[in-house]
Amino acid sequence: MAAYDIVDHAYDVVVVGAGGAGLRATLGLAEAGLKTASISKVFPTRSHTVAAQGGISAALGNIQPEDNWRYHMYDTVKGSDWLGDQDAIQYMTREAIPAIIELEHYGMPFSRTPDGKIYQRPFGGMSLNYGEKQAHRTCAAADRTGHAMLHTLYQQALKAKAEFYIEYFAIDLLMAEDGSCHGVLAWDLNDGKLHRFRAQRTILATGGYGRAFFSCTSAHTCTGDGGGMAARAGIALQDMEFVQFHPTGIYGAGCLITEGSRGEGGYLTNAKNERFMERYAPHDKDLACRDVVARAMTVEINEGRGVGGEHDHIFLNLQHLGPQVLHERLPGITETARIFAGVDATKEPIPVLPTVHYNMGGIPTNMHGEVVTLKDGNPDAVVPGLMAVGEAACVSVHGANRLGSNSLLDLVVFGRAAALECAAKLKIGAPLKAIAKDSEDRALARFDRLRYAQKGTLGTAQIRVKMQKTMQAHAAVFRTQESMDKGRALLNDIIKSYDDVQVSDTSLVWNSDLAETMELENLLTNALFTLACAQNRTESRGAHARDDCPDRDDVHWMKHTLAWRDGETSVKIDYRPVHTYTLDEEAKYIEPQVREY
Amino acid sequence: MTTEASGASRDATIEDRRVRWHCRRGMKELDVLLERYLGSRYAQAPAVERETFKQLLEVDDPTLWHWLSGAGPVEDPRFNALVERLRGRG
Repeated sequence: MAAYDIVDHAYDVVVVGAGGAGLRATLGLAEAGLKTASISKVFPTRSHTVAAQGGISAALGNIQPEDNWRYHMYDTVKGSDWLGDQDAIQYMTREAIPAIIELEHYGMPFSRTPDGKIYQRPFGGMSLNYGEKQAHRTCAAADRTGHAMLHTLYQQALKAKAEFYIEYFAIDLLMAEDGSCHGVLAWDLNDGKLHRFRAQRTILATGGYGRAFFSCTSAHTCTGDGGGMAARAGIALQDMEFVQFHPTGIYGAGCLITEGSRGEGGYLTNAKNERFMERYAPHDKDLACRDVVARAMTVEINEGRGVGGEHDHIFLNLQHLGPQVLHERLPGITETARIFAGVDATKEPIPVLPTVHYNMGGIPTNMHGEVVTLKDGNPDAVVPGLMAVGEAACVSVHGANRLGSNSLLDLVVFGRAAALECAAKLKIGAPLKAIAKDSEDRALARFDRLRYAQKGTLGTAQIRVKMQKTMQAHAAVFRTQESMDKGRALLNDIIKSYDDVQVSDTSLVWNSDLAETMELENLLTNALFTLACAQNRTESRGAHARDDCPDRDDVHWMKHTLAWRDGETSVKIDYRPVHTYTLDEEAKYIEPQVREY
Repeated sequence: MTTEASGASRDATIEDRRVRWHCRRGMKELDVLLERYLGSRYAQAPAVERETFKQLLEVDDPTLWHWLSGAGPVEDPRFNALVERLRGRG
């Protein structure tokens, strides 16, 4: 192995990832006087949070004075299909209000009502009085809410003297013998040096892993690095079978075509030019709800009626609407179709595919952001030194299905909670513990092996696309035991083929190929967990819909899946109970009901 | 002289590698369009265009998407031609 000079750093807290969750944690930590490092592989304002244009929910009652965080709590519990932990959901929806007011004070440029209050818009799944009518609960900063949030938090964190290490790629967690975490090993993409960040606490805020699927709305940078690092450190991931899909992403690119296109009369066809939704939803047809449409599309493709050379996608037809209607009612769609699919939507159909939008699963935490696991019969055993927030984490507030505008809220509330937790528990400048030598040696050996993998025969992109197509076909919206078992066998072979990966050169300066190869390893881990957990859960709940087990089964499955990697392609599964209680007497436990809209 | 030339070409290579990483954005749409350009055009583009592309990478994501999606005019004339090319109209 090559010799590496490692630059040493000592901090109170190191945060990995500088999207909304990581930046909010970093800001709170630095304001509390803790010496804080923020490491990010991309510039903070280019984190995927920037793509969240819709908004952030909080029952401020600015438009509807009768709004109440308990209604927001109910909506979130129902949306989660009762898999969410109600104590954490109570915390999130109640703390949403002060968390938004704080953002406002930090300078976030929210859109306003004529009398100067934060404007709130309606959003799907958000209701007043326990499902009675549509709520206006979602705050936004025009159509750039995510960017405004990143910008505001980054500026404030700089002001609070947080230290940023930008374009540093986190390689692995540094653990002690007892399984506690003491920092992270990172690679400076710009000058090629390795850095050892030691800290009392390490917070993973690395986002989701949408790119494990062929079609995803997430940016290329969403590769589940936190989950990959945690799994390699022997930590379990939770509820990885729950992946949210949008029915109409453009084939190949993943960019969304709004559902409004079907509302305006657009319809789907297969290779036989058949309007197949008539068979799956005779009444609603193409207007059936999101998951029904996405599953029907996948069945058509799996049964060989997909369009295109590989019969692997579906056509969305808008051409019959005529240029004028398209232009007036669906502005931007013809342009999006032209740019990303190369088609003229006024004359020809748009190739589409169900597309991954959000990962509900992740690194299990309590509502303070501390990573928890099942240990000696205790399902809430804390993993000392390690925390997680945002899409990388599973608190669990989204349960089996996330509501729109609850993800930005999750970032802010739990990023803030993690900082509050550290401020309360840590002593500024407390001495740091020693890292187990074998933990660092393993991380270095892995890095070194990949760096010198010039003799491999499979390119990173080649392995990645095989994984993505396998996940798309076998772990997307249509799930049966047979299909998933078949997919698992394929995925296991793909994971084994990673031993033969080829990296083009050994340079450590801006070596995108090496970085992408390490990302691929993280993606493969997340993919394996997703498929293994989906194979294991024999019910349908929220985003996990199985044709062979169509009903929710609260008797056997009202529990969180925990999964550990215990071999190259094997996963050990156990469970944590869903919290069937609230935080305090301010909210009552919401009993499970059938989830109907 | 030879050493200097190879030094300069090494710097150019490093610069191109940096540009590749900086095509990574927060939005999928931008990843797709920037990588498309990088793969099909950047290497053969005239030096001036390459320089403009590097400057374009400094623009924030929502603004870049606003321009590339055609939702609004390119406010900075430096980028007019390049944006049209990235949109597949150049």
